[in-house]
Amino acid sequence: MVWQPEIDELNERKKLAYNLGGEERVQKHIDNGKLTVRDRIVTLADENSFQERGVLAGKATYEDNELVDFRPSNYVMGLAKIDGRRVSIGGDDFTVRGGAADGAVGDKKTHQERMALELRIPIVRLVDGTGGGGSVKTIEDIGRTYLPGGPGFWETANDAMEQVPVVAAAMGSVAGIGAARVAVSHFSVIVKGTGQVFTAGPPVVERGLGMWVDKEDLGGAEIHARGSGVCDNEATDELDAFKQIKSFLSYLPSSSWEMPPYESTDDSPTRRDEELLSIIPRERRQPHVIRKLIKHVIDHDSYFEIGKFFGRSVVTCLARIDGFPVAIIANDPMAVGGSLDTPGSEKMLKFIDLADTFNLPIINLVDQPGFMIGVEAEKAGVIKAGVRALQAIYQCSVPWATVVLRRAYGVAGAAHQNHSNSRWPYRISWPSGDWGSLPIEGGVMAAYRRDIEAADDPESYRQEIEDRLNLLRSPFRTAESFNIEDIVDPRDTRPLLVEWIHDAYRVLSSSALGPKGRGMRA
Amino acid sequence: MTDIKAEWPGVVSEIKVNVGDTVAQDQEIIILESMKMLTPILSPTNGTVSEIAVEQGQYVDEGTTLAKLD
Repeated sequence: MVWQPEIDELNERKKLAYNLGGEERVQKHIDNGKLTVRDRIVTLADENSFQERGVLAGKATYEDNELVDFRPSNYVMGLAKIDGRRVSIGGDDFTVRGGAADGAVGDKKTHQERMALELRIPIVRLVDGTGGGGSVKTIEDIGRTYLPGGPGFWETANDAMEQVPVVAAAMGSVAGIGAARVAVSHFSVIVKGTGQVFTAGPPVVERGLGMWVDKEDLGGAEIHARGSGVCDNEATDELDAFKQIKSFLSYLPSSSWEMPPYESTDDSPTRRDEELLSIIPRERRQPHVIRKLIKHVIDHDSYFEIGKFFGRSVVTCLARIDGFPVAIIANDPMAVGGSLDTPGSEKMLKFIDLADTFNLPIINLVDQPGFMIGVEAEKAGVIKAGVRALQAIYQCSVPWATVVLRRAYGVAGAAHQNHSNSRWPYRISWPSGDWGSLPIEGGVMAAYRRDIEAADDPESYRQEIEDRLNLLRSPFRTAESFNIEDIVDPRDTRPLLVEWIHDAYRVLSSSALGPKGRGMRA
Repeated sequence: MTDIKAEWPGVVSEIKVNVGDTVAQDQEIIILESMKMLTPILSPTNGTVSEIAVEQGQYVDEGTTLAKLD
């Protein structure tokens, strides 16, 4: 019992830390529909798995060497388990100085990230705070201003992006470095109603631009999960955000040195859904429901979509095939006709980099009419965003399977896989396959304008040429020249991809894994 | 009052509702032909159609109001 007094003091100090910002502030926080940072961590983590680091950090006040007051660090972090796997988890305590970064004491945030890098485990950031300059009160505290920057967060953030899964949730008004901590991640989720993300909040906007804007209108879920793409997903509440974080992590390995985790399934590897035979309409202008199609191919209940409301012409989802995690890219003809626009390209780029970083094989379900055309698309820089997505395709080295569902047109259509001689992507097409540099309908006028204009009846002459070319449009003619390797019964898609995924995992598991060297930008 | 806008440019191919119709969230309001695909524009919410702002065959820019709901 030699050290009992110190143990008593330790427990007393922990109690003070658990008080967070005090009863009044905590109650206000809860009344705003938010969980406290400690409740967030224990709710998300497996029961009794949280091992806190730095609980004693805080600002103490002494009188005659007697501790009379203690304001805990407003960053709570440590190790925990999610679904039995270790993670490095941390969150801002909004009840202490609004979660402002300079209230964290020491460099707890960087410590959390360094711990994850060393242990090669995912980083979970529950962000509910502002920047280091979140409060100008700091200037009074230290008696000077300071030049922003220096080592710290960015030192580890870049390493983390290429080494371990990084997930972030925007769970309050998040500004400055807080917003950056949400954005520089592999997966981010914003809580509808209570989460907002911005470079600076309404008072700063008012002072700088002379306009008043409500925080929700400035950086709520509508702005960032449905418009800007800053946040991948939106959550209906905090519990939904946790559910999504868990789902996301369940497909990923703990680090880029490991293989994604296999999960056994009761779904049949040879399942051939009849619906697939009729899911693509014969009428070329009729869209199909891509999410339904995907679900006929993947394991039951294994669908997890990322960025549903941003870059909508491209669907990106994580899923499992015969228990093995895969990254699926698909074109959605319901949005922008399925064409590749600037947001869609940005989404595709990040998703391919994510898959490549964490050794997830990629399946591309192609129904691609080409890059988006028109004035707005050009203004949005579609070709620049598009070539960046193409570069990602040619940089990535994970196994790749292409299923041509229907259209593959132009430069964007060509980008359905890496065509280098050094690669062998597995490729099949459905009988609905329809491809070319330019669609026949528009291409006829471009190629035969002079003849058509000189004809007695230009319209019927144009139709005549179109009809003639359409006779050559059958994908079987393409297959004759081995330009498409195989045309398959759509119902065989799942069984064929099951065979492929087993090959893909065998190859990956005998390859040298780890960071790819290209880094990964958010 | 909700404005239903064209989310991408295209030609109004079909108008699926009339003024006064009660519509449900995700119901097809307009079919816009874009990139040679008949893309449905869905109602973002439940409501009653108070105005149809476009005509069949009309080209619309991204952001054009197609219909209004009460």
